Amino acid sequence: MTLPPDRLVLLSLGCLAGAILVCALALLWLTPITGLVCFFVGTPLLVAGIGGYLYALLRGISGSA
Amino acid sequence: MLRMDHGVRMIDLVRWGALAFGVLSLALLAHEAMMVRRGLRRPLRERLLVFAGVALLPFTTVALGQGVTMQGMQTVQFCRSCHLMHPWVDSLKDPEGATLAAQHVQNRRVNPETACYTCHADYSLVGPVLTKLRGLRHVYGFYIKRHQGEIRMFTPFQNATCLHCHGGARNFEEHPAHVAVLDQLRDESLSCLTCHSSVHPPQEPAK
Repeated sequence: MTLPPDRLVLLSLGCLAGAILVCALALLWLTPITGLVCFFVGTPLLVAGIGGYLYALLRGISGSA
Repeated sequence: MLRMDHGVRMIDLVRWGALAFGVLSLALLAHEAMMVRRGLRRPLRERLLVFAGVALLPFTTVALGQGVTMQGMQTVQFCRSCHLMHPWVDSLKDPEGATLAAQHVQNRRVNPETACYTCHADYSLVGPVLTKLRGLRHVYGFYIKRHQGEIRMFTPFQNATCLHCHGGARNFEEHPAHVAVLDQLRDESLSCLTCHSSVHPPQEPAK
C-alpha cells in the first residue's frame, strides 16, 4: 500500500500533534494512566512523526516540507 | 524540590514552559498542515528550516513533558491518585501518627512532597527505572487484574533504602540497638522491619 505523498506529511504532522497532546494531558492532569500514555504512546508518536516527516523531506514528496 | 524566590517551584516553571512550547508547536503543525493541503511548495532551504522547527519544537515539548511527568510521579499526590492508596497517604499527614512513615514526614526526616518515593525508591544505578517498572506492575494489578485484596510489596523491603539516609549517621550507627546488628543490616540478613514493624497503619480487611 502506498500512501499519497501529502497524506504522509499530514499523517506525520498528526502524529506529532498527538504526541504533544498526550504529554500536555499528563502535564495538566497527572495520573498513572496519563503518565503511561505520555511515555508509551507519546514517544512512538513522536518518533513516527519526525521519521515520517524526514522521509517525506528526503524523498522530496512534500509540498511544504 | 528546587524552589525559586517567592515560592515559585522550578518544576512548575518547566511545566508551564513545556505547555507554552506545546501551544507553539501545535500552531506550527497546523500552519504546515494548511500549507500541504493548499499544495504550496517551498525552496529546499526553507524546507530544511521548517523541518528543524517541526522536529525540534515537538521534541522539546515531549522531552520537557516527560521530564516533568517523571518528577511528578515521585510526588505523594501522584501516589494518592489511586484511591487504594488513600489510607496510606492520609496517615502520613496525621500529626498524632505514631507509625514510622508518619514520624518521618511529621519530623521532616523526608520531604513531605516525595515521602512515598523516598522510602520506596531503588537507589541503585538503574534504580529509578526499576522503581518505575515496579510501579507499572501496580498499575497492571490495579487496572487489569482488578486486585482488591491485601496490598503487599512485590519484593521484600530492602534495608539499603533505609541505609541510603541512615547509613553512616552517627546517631544511627552508635545506637546500642544497632551496634550489634550493623553488619546483618548491611548484608540484608536482618530486616530493619524486624524491629521497626509499625511502618504504616494496619490494613483493613478486604470487603
